[in-house]
Amino acid sequence: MNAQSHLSDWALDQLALEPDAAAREHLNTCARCSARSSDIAQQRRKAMESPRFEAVWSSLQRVPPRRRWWRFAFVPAFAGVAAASILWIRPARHDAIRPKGGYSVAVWTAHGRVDGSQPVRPGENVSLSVNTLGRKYALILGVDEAGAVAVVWPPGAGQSGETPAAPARPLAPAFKVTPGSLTLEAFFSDKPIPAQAAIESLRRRVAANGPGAQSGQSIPVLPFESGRASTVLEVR
Amino acid sequence: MRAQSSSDELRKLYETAGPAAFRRASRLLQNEADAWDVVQEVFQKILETSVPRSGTGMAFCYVAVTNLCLNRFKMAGVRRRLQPAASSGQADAAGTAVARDLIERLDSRLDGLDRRLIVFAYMDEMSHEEIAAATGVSRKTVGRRLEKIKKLALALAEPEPV
Repeated sequence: MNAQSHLSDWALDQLALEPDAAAREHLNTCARCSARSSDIAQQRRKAMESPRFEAVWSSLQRVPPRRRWWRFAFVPAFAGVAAASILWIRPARHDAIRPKGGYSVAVWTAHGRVDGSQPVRPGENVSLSVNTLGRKYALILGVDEAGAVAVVWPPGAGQSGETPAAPARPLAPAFKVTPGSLTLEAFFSDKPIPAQAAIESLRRRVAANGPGAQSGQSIPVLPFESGRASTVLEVR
Repeated sequence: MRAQSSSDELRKLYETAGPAAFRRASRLLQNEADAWDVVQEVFQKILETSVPRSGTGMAFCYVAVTNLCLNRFKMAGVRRRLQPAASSGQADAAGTAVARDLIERLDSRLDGLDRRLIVFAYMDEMSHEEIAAATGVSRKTVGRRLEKIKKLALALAEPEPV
């Protein structure tokens, strides 16, 4: 409960996953929180009725199975399950082999990794690194503020490039940056992706949505694409 | 059997946290298509990544939605006038407008954590304890950062000396 003794949206959302007797009791006695809870429930129903709700779910079914940490979010709900079962699903078993994070593309300068909110100075040398989750190839496209799309890495290549075996190793070469905002869209795959097809796909998407993050689920082409990530390079 | 159970659990998380993720992304991005893209990305991350260091499924979704939306703000170079979200109520729109306004006006003075804290505190109206639980940052840091943000905002609001 917040300082005003009302339940936040966060608390109300949590209630849907985990029972909380105190919060439930509060809902029964507080008209404001009860109304907000009904409002959230209504918005939830509306979202679930959207065709995109099931479309997103269907696309998730096509994601190859990996380590699914979310099962552990339900551990409290299964507290009564026998100890042997708990041991069977406990996360510690996977710690030694778990890769860190998801697909990612990161920007580095001489000062270290660039946080998304930190601009880079014009003329600075910048290099990129990727976490491919074991995928062999990466193709990084850049979308500038005007919506122009071009290959950033591998520079001048007609298709994805092979990534270094060590994920932390920066992709060569480094490059100098000029003022402006560049959205980097990285596509990871087991087979090389043709750069031109990717550029055209991204252009169509930019034309429809404007410049900005395009790496949602609906980039249509990239038949070999296994994953994607994006970040923004702000130079000023 | 095991795979079916995993799928059921993901479905349960999707049915509870998915609409919440969509609601928050819609408020922040004010575009339903983009908001669904964010939901897609969040759940794809859930499938692809390892156990987050803190929080449960809902906490992960809150943080992931916030991060993805803030990235999109930056990528889109958000400079447009604020408009109330069509799909949310007045209270929703007010909190969201305050959060977006602060992020836009304070822009270069904020780091990534500051931006997330603004969204959680002003749009979601979460308490410091709740923000600390969701982000894994200490309650003290949350309070200190929000106080700093408030001071920056107040300084901006002061008229220039003549």
